[in-house]
Amino acid sequence: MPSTFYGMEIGSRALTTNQIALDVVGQNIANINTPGYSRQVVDIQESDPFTPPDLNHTHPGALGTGVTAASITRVRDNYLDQQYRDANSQQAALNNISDTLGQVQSAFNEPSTSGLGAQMTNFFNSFSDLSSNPQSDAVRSTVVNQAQSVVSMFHSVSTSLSQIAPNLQTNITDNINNANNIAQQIASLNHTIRFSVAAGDHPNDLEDQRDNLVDQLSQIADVQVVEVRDPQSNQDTGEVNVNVGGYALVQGDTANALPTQVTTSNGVLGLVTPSNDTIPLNGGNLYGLIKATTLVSGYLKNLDSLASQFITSVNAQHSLGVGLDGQSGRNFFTGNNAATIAVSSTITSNLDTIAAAAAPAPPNTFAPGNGDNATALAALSTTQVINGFSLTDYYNSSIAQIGADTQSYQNQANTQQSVVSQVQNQQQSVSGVNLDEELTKMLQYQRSYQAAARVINVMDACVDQIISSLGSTAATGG
Amino acid sequence: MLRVSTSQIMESSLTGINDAYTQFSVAQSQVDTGKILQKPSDNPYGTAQVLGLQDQISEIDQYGRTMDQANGFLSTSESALSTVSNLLSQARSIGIQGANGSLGNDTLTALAGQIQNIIGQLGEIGNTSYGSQYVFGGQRSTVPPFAASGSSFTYNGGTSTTGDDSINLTIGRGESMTVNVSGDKVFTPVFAALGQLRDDLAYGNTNGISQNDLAAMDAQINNVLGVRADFGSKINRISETLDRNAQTKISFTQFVSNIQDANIPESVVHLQTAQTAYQAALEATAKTFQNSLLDFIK
Repeated sequence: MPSTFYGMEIGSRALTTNQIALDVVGQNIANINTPGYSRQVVDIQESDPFTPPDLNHTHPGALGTGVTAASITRVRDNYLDQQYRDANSQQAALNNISDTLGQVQSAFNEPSTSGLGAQMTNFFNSFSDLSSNPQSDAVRSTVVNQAQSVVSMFHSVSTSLSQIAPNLQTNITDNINNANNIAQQIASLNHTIRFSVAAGDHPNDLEDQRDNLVDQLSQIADVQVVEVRDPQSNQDTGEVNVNVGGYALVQGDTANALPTQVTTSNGVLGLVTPSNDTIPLNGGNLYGLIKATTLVSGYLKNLDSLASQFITSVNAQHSLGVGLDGQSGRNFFTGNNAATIAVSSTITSNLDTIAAAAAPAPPNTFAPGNGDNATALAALSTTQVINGFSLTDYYNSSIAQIGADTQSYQNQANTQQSVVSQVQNQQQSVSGVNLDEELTKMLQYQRSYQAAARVINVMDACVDQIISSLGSTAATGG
Repeated sequence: MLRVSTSQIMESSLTGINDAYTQFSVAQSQVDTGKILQKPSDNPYGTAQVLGLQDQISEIDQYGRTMDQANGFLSTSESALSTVSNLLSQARSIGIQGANGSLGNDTLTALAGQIQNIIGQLGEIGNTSYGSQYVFGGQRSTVPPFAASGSSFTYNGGTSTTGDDSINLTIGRGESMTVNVSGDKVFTPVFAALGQLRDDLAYGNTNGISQNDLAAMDAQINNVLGVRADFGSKINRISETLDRNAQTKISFTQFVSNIQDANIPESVVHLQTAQTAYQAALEATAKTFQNSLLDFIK
């Protein structure tokens, strides 16, 4: 037989439960714009019945004891989390590569009529002018000016390209520091969450924070997340381990810092631990930045081969000819790559040293009106001297290659952006807060709360009936 | 039923606006710059074509400048040689007079003086220059090729024997043209023939004149005419090549434009379409967030 106040207790439990449900609605609405927040739901259950079934039948069966909020859980799909992180890593890598290639493109500033290719053509053309006017100082000085233009174009492109690599390296270091920082925070959250779970709680908000950190980490590197189970009970401990390319970045409540040494050997892009183990990377900012570094250094190498071949070809032909002073064997350019190329000081200090004339066959002597060597130098513009290409064609095809690489990475980045958006959409569909939904629930719990209060009110009236009505005679008699 | 969260609606609105705005700014930049090919990544293959064509245009321009130079050289030489032809005709007429045999010594001396006068004029013509170059000096173009020596001139320019007689200019890929004739091939034999005629006139050797000198004159006149004919045909060839190159340049420039330049009417239509799409995205977003359940809860 339940007590007189039994009904009041049922009402009171309903008040508490609906109060909690309203609080959760409030929490959801409050965090509607919080990144990484997963909406929470209350698991509302009937509380255990009053008595176990017995044979006395003093009351009509097991009597309900009301309602309880068993747990508050977050709505989240772990499978989508992993999908999102994979997609996000790819996206971050592609973004970094296509951004860097954009910088490479602007370093060359093509297609233009004043780029390096055009300057080389103008330089060779000035030799053609010289061939028809070999003794003219004006034309000789044009040749030197054009040469200076080519030199400063080589320097400018080389400097722009060379400046990209140190920036990328700084960016790599920043990302590694950031990853290590995040790993620390994940480890510390693991620690707190483990205790909370062991105590039977659902630390939803801490788990959200941790997932958010892992998402940030996926931006930096391709991460694999493994839930930790207790070896004895095989129960979830609430902790997660985070691996990068097989390297245990977070293990329970310990974080192992990523090394800062970068490797690109054997076509594997990654990091090298102090004990010389390679951590291969396949996504994230780090992969993108390392890949971009290799691409940029490839383009710089091509530019240097072009400069080197340009210097060698011009010098070889130039030293065959003779200057206005009748001397031969002089180089036109000094240096051996795009950064060091310069017009020889012999040439700049004395225009007569430009070897426009072909060397006369002995016993013939030098003739100042001979422009045959200048003709030969001008012909270098169309001579195949580098990998079966002429210098300008080699340059043009390098530009086309850079354009094609950039276009390809930009397209991939755009496509990947759609993939990321798609997964984010699915995540939001599961975990995101819908304001109308929460408001509907709010109305529902508000009404339930009001009704529970009414139940208590009625119970109170009943008890009042017992106390006031039954007690009035005794009071009068006393 | 697919569940949609509030932030999802916001995200997709934002994405829509961003996409529309990107399209809009791309279309606008094409109209502003007049170019659809602004970066190699816009069209890598087209970029290679444009750069290659620009190199070829530059090459054509260069051949054009060289041909202008060649043309100047040839025309100057041709005009000088036409005067040489006239002078040689005069000398021949004088020779015919001198061969008459009935002339007095005074007259013959006067005729010899006229020949000497012609020799002097030819010496000047032999030192004709184009710009800073002596056109009849071969590659020894910095010093006057003919220097007066006694009653005649000696040649100091380049010769085929010393390998410095011809000036060759490149007027096309692998196409070289000799644009001069060295003085020793035209003037030196002329001086010799005229010297002989003058002497024969001075000494009254009418037989020598009629038997040898007139024939020698004819040979020289023919020699000069031959050189002039060669120059004339070269000038024609240059003029034809310049015309042809101008055509090629026009079509190359057209190719470059086709690849690189925006079709303005088409781009403007694209721009308008993009603008409309952008406005639509903005309006849709503004309407989406107008209502929620909040508006109906009292």
